[in-house]
Formats: sequence, C-alpha cells, structure tokens
Amino acid sequence: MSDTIEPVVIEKVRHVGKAVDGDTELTPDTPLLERQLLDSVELLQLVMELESAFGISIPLEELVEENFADVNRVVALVERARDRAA
Amino acid sequence: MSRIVDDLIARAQAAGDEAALAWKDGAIPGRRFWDGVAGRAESLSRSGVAQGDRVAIWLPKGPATVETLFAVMINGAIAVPIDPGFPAARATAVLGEIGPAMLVTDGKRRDMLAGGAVERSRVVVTDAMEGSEPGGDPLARKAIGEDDPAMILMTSGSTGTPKGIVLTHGNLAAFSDWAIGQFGLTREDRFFSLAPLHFDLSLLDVLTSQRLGASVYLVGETEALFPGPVAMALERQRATVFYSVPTTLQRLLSHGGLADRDLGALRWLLFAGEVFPAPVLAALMEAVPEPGYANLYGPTETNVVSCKLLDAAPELGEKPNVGLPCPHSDISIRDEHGNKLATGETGEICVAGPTVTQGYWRRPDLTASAFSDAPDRLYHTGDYGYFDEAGDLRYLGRRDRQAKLRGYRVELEEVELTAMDTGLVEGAAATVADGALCLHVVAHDPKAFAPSALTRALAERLPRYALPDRVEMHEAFPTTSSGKVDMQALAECAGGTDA
Repeated sequence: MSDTIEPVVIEKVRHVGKAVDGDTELTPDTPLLERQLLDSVELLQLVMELESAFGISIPLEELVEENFADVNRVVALVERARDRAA
Repeated sequence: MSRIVDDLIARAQAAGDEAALAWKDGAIPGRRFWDGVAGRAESLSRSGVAQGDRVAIWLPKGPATVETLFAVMINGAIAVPIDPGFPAARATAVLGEIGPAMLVTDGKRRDMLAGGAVERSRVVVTDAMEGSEPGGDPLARKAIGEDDPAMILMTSGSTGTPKGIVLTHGNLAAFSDWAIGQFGLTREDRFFSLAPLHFDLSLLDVLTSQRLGASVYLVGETEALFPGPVAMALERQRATVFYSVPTTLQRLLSHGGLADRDLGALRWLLFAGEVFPAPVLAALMEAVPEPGYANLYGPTETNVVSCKLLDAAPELGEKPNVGLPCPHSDISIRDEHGNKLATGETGEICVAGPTVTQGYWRRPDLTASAFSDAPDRLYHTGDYGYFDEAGDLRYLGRRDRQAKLRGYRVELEEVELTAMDTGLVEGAAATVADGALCLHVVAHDPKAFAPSALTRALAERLPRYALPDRVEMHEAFPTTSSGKVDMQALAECAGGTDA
C-alpha cells in the first residue's frame, strides 16, 4: 500500500513547498522540517491536499511534528487515516 | 546606568529554585539559568568581547540562546539575534552589515557559512560556552549607560540588504516599564513566548519576564509550525500572558483547536504587527473569553507607542483602532511638510519618546531620511492615520512599498532586487493582494524559464516569508504614460488570475 502513497506524498510536497522544486532532492527520509522545506501554511496545505487525494480525514491530534519529520512519517500518517476510514 | 542590566543582575543574585525557563523537553530553575548566563558572560569576556562590540547570535530558539542574549547585554556588548531560519547567504549579508566581534552559533550553521563570512577565530559554537567556570565575577556591574546600544534587530531593507534597528538599554527599559505598569505584570506571571527572538515581541515575553523573575515558556521554531501542540502547551503551561500576531492567533483558532483548550489562567492576550480582521477577532474573543485583550501598535523602530484595550471586537468596517498613545510616547499626525495636523485629519504617524530607536546601524542615510529634528527627534513611521474625537489613533496603512506578510515586515523592493540578482529575469515587480505576494517577472528566456527555479533561487537568499506565493510571467510590463511600470495594472492582473 505504502508504495502507492509515497509518490503522491512526494508530489504533494513538491507542489505545496515554495522552496521545493523538481530539482530538490526528496527521498523518503529527507528531513522535511529540519531542512525547513515546508512552513506552517504549506504544512496545512499539504494536509488538505492529502485529505482530498486519498479521501481521508487527518485528525487534529495527528498534526504534530513527529508525523511530518520526513516522507516516510507522512506516508504512515496517511495509512493510519486510511485504516481508520476502512 | 542601565536599569535593565541592573534588574537582571539583581534577579541573578536572588535566583533560587523557582522556574525560569521552560521549553518542550525541559525546564530550568532560576539559579541554573543565571549560572549559565554567568558562564557565557565569562566565556565572551575571555574571548575578548568588549563593551560596544556586536555579538551576533544565530541559533534556534532555546535556553542556551536566551542565556547568550543576556550574557551579551550584561557585558555591555550589543546583541544581534539573527533569524535561525535565514539561508546562509542572508545570514552572511547580515554579518557583513553588523561586523560582529563574535558570532555565537551551532555546528550546523557554522558549516553553512561560506569561508570569509566571519573569521574562524570569531565564531564560537554554543556548546563550547557551556560549563565555563566563572573566574572572577562575570555578573559584576559594568558602567553601561541608558544611551548605550543593547540590541540590534534586523529588518528588511529596501536597498536589498537587511538593515539593523539599534535599541538602547533605555529604549528597552522604557517599553518594559510601560508593559509592567499597563498590564500589572509580576513575577507570578507565566509568559508564553511564541514569537522569534529577533522580533521585538520577545522584549516582553523573554526580557521582561526575566527582569521580573517570572517564568517563560519558549516555543521552538519547529514546534511553532503545528498549531495543535502550541495550543496544548498554552493550556499545559497555564500561561498568563501571551503576546502574538493576528495571523498566528487566527491559525491557533482555526487549526489548533484553541477553543477546546482550558485557558482559564490566561490574563492577557496581546497582539500587534498587523490589523486583526474584525470577524476573526470576534470569533477568538468568543472562543477564548477569559483574558483581557489589547491591540498594541508601533513599528520595531519605536516599539509600542499606543494601546487599545478591547472589551469587544471592533465593528465591521470600523477604521482599525490602535488606541491611546502610551504615556511615554509623543505621537503626532503630520503632513508632507512636517506640519502637525488636527484631530480627524489624515497624515503620517510620527513619534518621539524614550522607546524610539537611535537609528539604523551604520546607515546614516537611512536614519536621516526617517528622522527629523524639529523640535524633538521625531521618527516618521511611514504609517498613515488620524486621531479620532476620543483621542484614539486610527491606522490606515502605508503609502510606500513596505508590506506585512503574515505579520512579517517585507520591503517589496528587496524582493525585486533579489530576483534581479538571480540573473534569471530582466524585470521584476512585486505586488501584494489579500496577503499573498505575487512576483511579476519578465524572463530573459521565456521558453526556458521555470517559475519554481526562480523561487528556489530566491529561497537561497531571502527568508521564507518573503518568498512569492506566485510567480507571474509577462512578455513586457505594462507602463504608465510616464513610462514607469504600471504597478496598479500588475496588481489588478495578479488579483484576477488567482490559481
């Protein structure tokens, strides 16, 4: 399942991040927050885009630093939301 | 004699086991905090930092950063906090402007700086200052005058490089005294510090809290990205004083579940920096009814000069009311010749008084153009407004190209000059609509031009908040009859093509 989520997450990060473009190195374990690739507004936009792309709802309690540290963590976050919806 | 330093030293001498600083992963009592300050003060002296020297502090927000800030001030040196999120090129530009005797940073940031930004011998990594054994008495009082500079706060400059606003010990004391009196602040208060240390808001939550011997919770940069946990921390810390900007408060309300938090301990919710949209403020006051609300006004150059205590949200359509002048500030409304205008007449908001900056660091040209001398030293804010019949100051906005983006102050010329500097465009013009920054460009090579490449190049030179939300390509800029770029037409086209 996660292998289909990951490319979408990466694409969305590239889309919402103003400081991120096609040439920015972005692997599943690139530290998104430590490298300041996303700001507060972009993080909320990312959440909204993931919610609509996967038809999920990400609860407020999940919007914490640990769940956005890298792409892997975001993929896990999406998976959890999917499992809850299923 | 610097009253601020005097008070800080008195606090250090009286410090015990009471809480001083807290943050996400810990807390330290007053005694240990002041020992840390003393050790850092000793370390700076030993490195040859003298009174009047600048010490740049480029570190994430946290206890070590605050210890360093106080150590610099107590030594009589000038603290220059640099945005920890600045890209290396911008930090380098700031260091070039300031010429620090010492840069205190961390290993990661030191490695980001190109060789030559600061001599290696002038860089100290923060960890190396820890546990420095005080040799003599590092907290002994030095001869520091109220007119001696205490801090330099960097802000966006229309020339393309940041400019430094010099704040004296007297400036800091005048603001801090006012805040303590106005809001009845005591050492029993628990301050909540969400604003960065290079913002003047920190002069309340960090400096004034420690001057009083009260406690402060420091929200780190990454922690601040997530409104949910920030709202939880506000509740958990039982914060009593929270000074923030409207954009942030709005986000805590809309995405942080602020309404569900128990904020019964909160005494004051203060905001400044931009106009709070009335409906959002009304929603906030309904969701968080406990504290007193106040809208503070004043650019960094003057700090707070007026204050509106709010019993209820303003009426829709009412001109933004920033309240009565503080007792320390002499505010006048003036026309373009510098003549005072009467109640109800609109003009430039000008300020004299003890909180007003001496000027911009080593920029006599900028200082001269922002100040006039007759009869008092008067700062021309560039803000426009009028006094209403009740004596309240009404804020109407600016007529130059300084913009506020989510509470951050940005000179649009700086964004344009930096875009030109990338070599990717031959024309650049920035407009703001609904709080979003649109950068209009004429590309050198329209076929090869990628807007995202420009934004990324800008990200290496500008702070994040100054990056364009959209890049709009033009074959050529529309011009006015006099041949100037028609900014009005560009702004309209930006408003009309929102993606």
